[in-house]
Amino acid sequence: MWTYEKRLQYPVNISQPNPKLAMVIISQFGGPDGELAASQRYLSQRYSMPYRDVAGLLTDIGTEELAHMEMICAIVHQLTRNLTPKEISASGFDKYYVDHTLGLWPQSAGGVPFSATVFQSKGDAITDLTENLAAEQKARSTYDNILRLVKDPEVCDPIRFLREREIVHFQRFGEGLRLVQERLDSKNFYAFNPEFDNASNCNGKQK
Amino acid sequence: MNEKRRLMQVIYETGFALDDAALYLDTHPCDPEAVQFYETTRNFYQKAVSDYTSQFGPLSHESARFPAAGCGCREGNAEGTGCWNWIQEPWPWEGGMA
Repeated sequence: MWTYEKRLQYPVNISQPNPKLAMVIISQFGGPDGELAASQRYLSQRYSMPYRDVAGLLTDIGTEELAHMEMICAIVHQLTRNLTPKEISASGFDKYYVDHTLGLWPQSAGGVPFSATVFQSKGDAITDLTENLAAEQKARSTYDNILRLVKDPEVCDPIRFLREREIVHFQRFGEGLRLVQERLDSKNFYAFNPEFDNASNCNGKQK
Repeated sequence: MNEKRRLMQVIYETGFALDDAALYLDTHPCDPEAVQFYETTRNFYQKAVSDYTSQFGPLSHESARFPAAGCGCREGNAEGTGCWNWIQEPWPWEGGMA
């Protein structure tokens, strides 16, 4: 069960619109390594995760990703406020505008709609946690790419915060993977899948 | 019905009543009956959450406690602070909060 807190995780106060930059940053809303994908990846994976501490990590990081999605949307919104039709045409924002006006819609910078195919929920603890480690690094790279294009300090500041959180999540998922491996067969981590196998089938002899 | 289940039942009922009343209040923010209903129900909800979380485990990070016993660290840690109990009880999808 979720409840909403009426604040951002970290403040976003952008005074200068920049629709061209908004079209790049929107990728972290609905793009392949964006916050929507991150939240749904972790919140989908947790149900079959048999270790309570790691299920807690997936819940808590998944929840934080929802707050990051809100920050990205706030950034895109503030970068596209009060635009004139002339500014919309001149900036190249017209292709987004024609379908969504100034509404937020999850897509990548290239205009590809959000898709669940950008993430996995494999039902295998090692596989899912390894996917999550890669996902955090991919998001960190995306924020690095964004930061190279940003000159406005009011945009840099919250983007730097989000980039830093990717590194923290990577660290925590690494610890989660260690916690899982410590509970598996130390001679063969793949001897059984703790999310599926039990002692009664061929893949679960060691459990 | 045991105390844990009884309190959770109150939380389910008053919690949902608050969710539903909030939607009504969003579109009728000045309805005095609805305002009064929200305030009264919130008192019951908050009391039930406080009673539940002090005895049976946290419902949010904020209601997590740091018991020395049962945290997997046996006697708590070296400083004797006890441990974060957010991850001890079953998750709701395990049927933990039924």
